[in-house]
Amino acid sequence: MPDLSHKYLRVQDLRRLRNLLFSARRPVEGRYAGRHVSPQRGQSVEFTDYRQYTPGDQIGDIDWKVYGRSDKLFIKLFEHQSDMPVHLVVDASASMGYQGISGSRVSRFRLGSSNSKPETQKPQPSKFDHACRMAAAIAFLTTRQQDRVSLGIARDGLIEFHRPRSSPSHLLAILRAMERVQPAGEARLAAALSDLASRIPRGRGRSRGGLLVVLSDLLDEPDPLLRAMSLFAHHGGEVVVFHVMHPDELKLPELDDAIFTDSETGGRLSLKVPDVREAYEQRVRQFLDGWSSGCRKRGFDYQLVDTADPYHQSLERFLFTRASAS
Amino acid sequence: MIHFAALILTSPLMLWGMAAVALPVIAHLLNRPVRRRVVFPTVRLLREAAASRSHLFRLRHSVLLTLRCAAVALLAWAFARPVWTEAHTTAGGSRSGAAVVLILDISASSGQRSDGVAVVDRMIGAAERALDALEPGSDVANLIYAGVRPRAAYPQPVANLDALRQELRELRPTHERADLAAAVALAASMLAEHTGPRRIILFSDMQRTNWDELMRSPLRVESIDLRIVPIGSPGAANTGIVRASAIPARPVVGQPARVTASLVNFADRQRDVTLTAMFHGRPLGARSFSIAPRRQQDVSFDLAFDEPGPHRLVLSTRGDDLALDDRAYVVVEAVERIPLLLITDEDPAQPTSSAYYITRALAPAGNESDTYEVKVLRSIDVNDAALTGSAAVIIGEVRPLGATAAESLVEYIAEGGGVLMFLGGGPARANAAALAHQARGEPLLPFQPLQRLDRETRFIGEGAWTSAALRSFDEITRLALREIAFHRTHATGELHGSARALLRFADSTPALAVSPYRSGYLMLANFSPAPSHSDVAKHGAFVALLHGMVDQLRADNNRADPLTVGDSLAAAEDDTGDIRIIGPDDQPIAVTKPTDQPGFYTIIRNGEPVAVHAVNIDEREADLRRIDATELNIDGFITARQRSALGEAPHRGEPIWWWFVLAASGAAGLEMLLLSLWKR
Repeated sequence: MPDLSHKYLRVQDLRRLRNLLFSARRPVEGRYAGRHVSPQRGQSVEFTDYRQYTPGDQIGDIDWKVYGRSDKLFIKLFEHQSDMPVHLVVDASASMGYQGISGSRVSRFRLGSSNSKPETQKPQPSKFDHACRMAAAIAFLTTRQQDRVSLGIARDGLIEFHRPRSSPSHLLAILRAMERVQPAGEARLAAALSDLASRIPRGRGRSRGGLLVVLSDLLDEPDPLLRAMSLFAHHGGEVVVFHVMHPDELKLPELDDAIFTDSETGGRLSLKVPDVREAYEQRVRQFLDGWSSGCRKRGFDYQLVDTADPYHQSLERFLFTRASAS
Repeated sequence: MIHFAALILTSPLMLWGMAAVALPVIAHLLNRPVRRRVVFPTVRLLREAAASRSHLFRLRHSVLLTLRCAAVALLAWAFARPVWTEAHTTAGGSRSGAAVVLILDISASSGQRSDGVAVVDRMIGAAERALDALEPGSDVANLIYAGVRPRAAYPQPVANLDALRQELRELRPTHERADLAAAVALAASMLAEHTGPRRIILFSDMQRTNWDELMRSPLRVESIDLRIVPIGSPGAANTGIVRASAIPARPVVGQPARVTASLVNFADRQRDVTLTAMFHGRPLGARSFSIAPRRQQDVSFDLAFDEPGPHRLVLSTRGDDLALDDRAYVVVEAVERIPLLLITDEDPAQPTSSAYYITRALAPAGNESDTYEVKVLRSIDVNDAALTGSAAVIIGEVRPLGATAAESLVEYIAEGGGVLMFLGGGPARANAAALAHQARGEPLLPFQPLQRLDRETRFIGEGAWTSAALRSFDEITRLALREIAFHRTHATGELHGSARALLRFADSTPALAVSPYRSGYLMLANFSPAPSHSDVAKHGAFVALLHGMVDQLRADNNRADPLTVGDSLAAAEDDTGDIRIIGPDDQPIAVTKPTDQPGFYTIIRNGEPVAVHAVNIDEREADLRRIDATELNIDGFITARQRSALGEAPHRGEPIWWWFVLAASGAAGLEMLLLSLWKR
């Protein structure tokens, strides 16, 4: 067993996750035999249906008992179970590095006083850390299920890609890769997904299949990103979007007068927080609803992840929801 | 005063209050919370949220701060007393400036203190405000100091308002009365040629005695706006010495004299007064007494003079609201025996003759102990030499005067002598005509004696009791005089212009009258002391009457009414010789210059002191009662009832300070309303 006490995957977390199954909702066209339902027809132990014989079918597939009863030729169909490749894409843009007010480097500015003496407090996990934990948990579950998992790091496009594998060593490599990354710059998720899609091996019928799990704060332009995710789904894949947001982003922190600096663009905005709190929360709801409806409209699974909640609870909630829907 | 186009700020120094605008700014800065710098991922959403707020909401702190500052600034402007001036209306696009003359009543009463502040200081302040209301560069102004002879600061109104302000700062009350009528006439003459708006502003303590004279001689002036600014407040408590005199005014050395001061309590409550007399700088005595409100009290000091010459006495009380009348000056000229000449053709020893009674009344002892040395002369012996050296001449019962005698007598009068003529029996009427003939057409006789009235007994009806001849008569003596029967008198014509009746019979016919003739006087008695003509010689009042008559006629006692500040001493002296005048401060003053302060003035002729005059303030200045502005009604002026500006300086515009207060209140109210709305 590999050493699983990593930054993003801890022993105590594994105990919580051991009973969870990360499965696809739709039949998965995998390359290998696995436990997931596959649209492929082939040898399997489970009979599903008959089909009238057409020239070209294998003679061995003909059900002679039905012919003896009906003088008609029918082929017996069986469920084909294959593996489910899970493609993890983690947003590593600068905005994902937000750790909250108490964890961020802030400076106080007051009239007549010497300014900018920074206050640095004990760092709290950032959105990127939370997303990586979730990605690590999903990777662990996937690997335990003998499914393959890939990792893509999105930062100004796809900066790192680990091909889908299912070995424990691959899991470790994924973990270490996430630990190495420092959030910075912009995500450019749409470009990252396009790049990812080109690297994913195709299945039979040129479909890609598998599960695309996007862990991001989705602060990119929605249309290109939705199109990129739709393209993945069009080619037989399933998309799950984990919308990672910090509580400060959902409800503005308790500040009075502040100068806000954009994590990625550096743009500044000076305002009194109480003046815009209500309007901001309304705008955030619109933002979240926009993504939620956009994803659901396209058949994506959408889950808002509040970093205040333990990641495993978010994951459990998601998996239960998926299981109920199946 | 600051001008902003059509806006004038009357009190521009109040604009310093705008510095208080810094207070809400400082409060705003101090109340600003700590501004934290935060690196935040969803700034885009923040910006969109902030943009969704109204522009006004985002700017609300600036809006509130602006309203607070505006409220403070508007209040400061309100305190600066802004005035919106009249617009330019003439066809030429510009208006003529106004010409304003400020008349300042600087009579002695302006030195009174009202509520602890001198009236003259209040007057300066009010006049400065009036100057501030003028428009520099356009308006012209001048000052007139209303004393006994009003004078102007400049010959014509000037545009140099700063120079006028400097003049005001040096304003001091005088010791004079104020001739307001002359001051107004002078102001009107200055404004006569001005084509623009013309205005006279009269600042006065409204002393009734000054204003009564103006009311008696109203002026008619067209198209001049008169504004009266009462200064001070009524109720000044003043007790003043209104008169001081000595009787006799020229006592003989060793003769008892009495110095009397008349004090009047002009206040509304009883006053306890102590009057102190100083004789040649040494205390003579003091009297303490109480004077009821609006009452006069006469206080006397008796003394005798050991040496001939002028003797100075100063009478004084403790200071009150008007200090100028708390001191009076008296000069008593002590003389040796007084030579008199009695012209009579009677035997003075004859008890039935008028000469007998005349000589007995003037020199009862008949020796050197008598004050008067009476020399008897017959009418035919009258000539210039015989009359020389006589203090006065009395004409009793005489035969017809010859031309020489008449001429000598008239010449004697012309050179300053005094002659008393009794119209007794004989050719009295013809002798009066002979004297009048010598006057060469100049009026000599106070009245023309007509036919004798032998069958009509007359009694004295009224008298000029304040005259020098009769002022020693008290009430009892006056009553006694009225009881005297005059059996033989003359009908008379009217008194001529400059004559003065000292006594009148009950039918108003003059009984005793005096008229000036050149430097002297002729006193004509319409009676004779002879027992056959009247009972006057039988009464003790005759002695006092005769002494008074002689006293008034005496050349060396013949002076005008007591001198008051503003009188010229040159009129009291002849102009022969080298004359110098030393004032109360021991400084020489110009001979022709009017007196400007009370005190003793020494006349030096040819290097020798020849006379000392006492100059006092006019007694009318002691009466501080004020005339009510509603009583004023001067023809030709806009009445004070319509235009009296009580302590306010006139201005040509509309005060708009209250608009600024309203705007400040509106700004403050709007600030509170917006604050409550935005807090929700």
